[in-house]
Amino acid sequence: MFDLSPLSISLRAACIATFIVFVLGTLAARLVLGLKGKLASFVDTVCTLPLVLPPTVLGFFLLVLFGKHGPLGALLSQFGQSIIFTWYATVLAAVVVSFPLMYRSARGALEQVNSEHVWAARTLGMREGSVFLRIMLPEAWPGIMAGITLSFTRSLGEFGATLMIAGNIPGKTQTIPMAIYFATSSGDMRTAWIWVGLMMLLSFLSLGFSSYLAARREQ
Amino acid sequence: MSLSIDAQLSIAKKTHSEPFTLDVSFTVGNGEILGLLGPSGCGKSMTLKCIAGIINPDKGKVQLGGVALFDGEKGISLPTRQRRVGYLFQSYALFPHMTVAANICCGMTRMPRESKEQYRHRCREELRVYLELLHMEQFAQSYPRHLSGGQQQRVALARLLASRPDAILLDEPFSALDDELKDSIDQELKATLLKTQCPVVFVSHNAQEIQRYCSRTLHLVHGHLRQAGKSGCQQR
Repeated sequence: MFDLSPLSISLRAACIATFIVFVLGTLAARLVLGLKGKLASFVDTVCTLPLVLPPTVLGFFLLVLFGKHGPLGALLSQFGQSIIFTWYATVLAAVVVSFPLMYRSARGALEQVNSEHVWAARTLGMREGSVFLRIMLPEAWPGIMAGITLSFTRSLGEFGATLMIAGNIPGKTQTIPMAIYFATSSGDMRTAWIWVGLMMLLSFLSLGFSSYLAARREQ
Repeated sequence: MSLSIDAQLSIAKKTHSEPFTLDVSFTVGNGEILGLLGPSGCGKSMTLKCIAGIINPDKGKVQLGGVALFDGEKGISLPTRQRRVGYLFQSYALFPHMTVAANICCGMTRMPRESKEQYRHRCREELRVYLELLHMEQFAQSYPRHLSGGQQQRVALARLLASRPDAILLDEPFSALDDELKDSIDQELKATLLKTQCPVVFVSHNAQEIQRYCSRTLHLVHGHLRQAGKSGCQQR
């Protein structure tokens, strides 16, 4: 019987990670737009860094942070919790690697929002929160949607950081990319082919869905 | 409630070696429509932006009904949201993803001690009033992109009025309209503006437009006021 658990592990992790990244990335983009000068470039650089760092480096840092003796890991273990080598670690890894994609898409989209609309909203007495939620976000939505798609596909394909902090526990932390790697290395080409095909299908579908949304919006 | 501004501001422009300096000082009374006339780039819009808090002057004061909106000396600068200044942008700045009705309701705020139900009811009532006032009833559910320039202008004006401002700033309100439309809108707009009993600043590069609306005109040239007086008797 073919074990389908990597599919559900991957999909669940990618969906939750994408949601988290959507919130964090969009807020970070809004925050950076409100900053000026050197501070803005610094925060921008920090937010973009995971994009260029090797996933193993990210995994290493996550391990240091969330490991048994890491500051966050120690805090969690006081509550009897641990993230490393659990399903949550796959979510965490996906969040960290896909965050820059969401952040950059959102920042680009928010920069494009007509500033007169934003000022008009303020003259109408709208609070900053409403200006953001009711004026900026809807206007930036196509770009943000693109960011969501990119983040989702990136989360789905995450391998390096996941391997380091979540490991390869079948039925628990084994995601599709992990299944592909270990099937290939053990010579099980049939399993590898199935997962590769499924992965391509999923990526194709999510990109297609986003371009369908973009096209529908333009009409 | 009168509006007064006395502001100085200098901005370095990339294209010029010398910075652009703005130095304006005037007062607009209740129910008065003051014209601010000048060629493009003379600082008319910048003056409005200083009043609305979109730009902060380097020094000076902006007061509305005795309340300091900006005071360089005391370091006061109210955020735009709290200034209660209605701003009609040249492009009208209607929110493209909202219907006409939603656009107009944007500026309505819930009163203290008003229940959600009462607030909704009042919004509906006021929406009806403003749509009727500006003859836009049949367009309530339309999106701005489906409206003509004149209709967009009226929606922007309705939205502005619905936010109950204490002062009104009009930035080239007719530049996006053709001449015929201008004449048809003219009298109604003027009557509507006067009815609010707000101080109104009307910015334009067109002397005729200003004459039709304003009881007093200021000429702004290179960021400085040239002359003041009754527009009727002061012909260049």
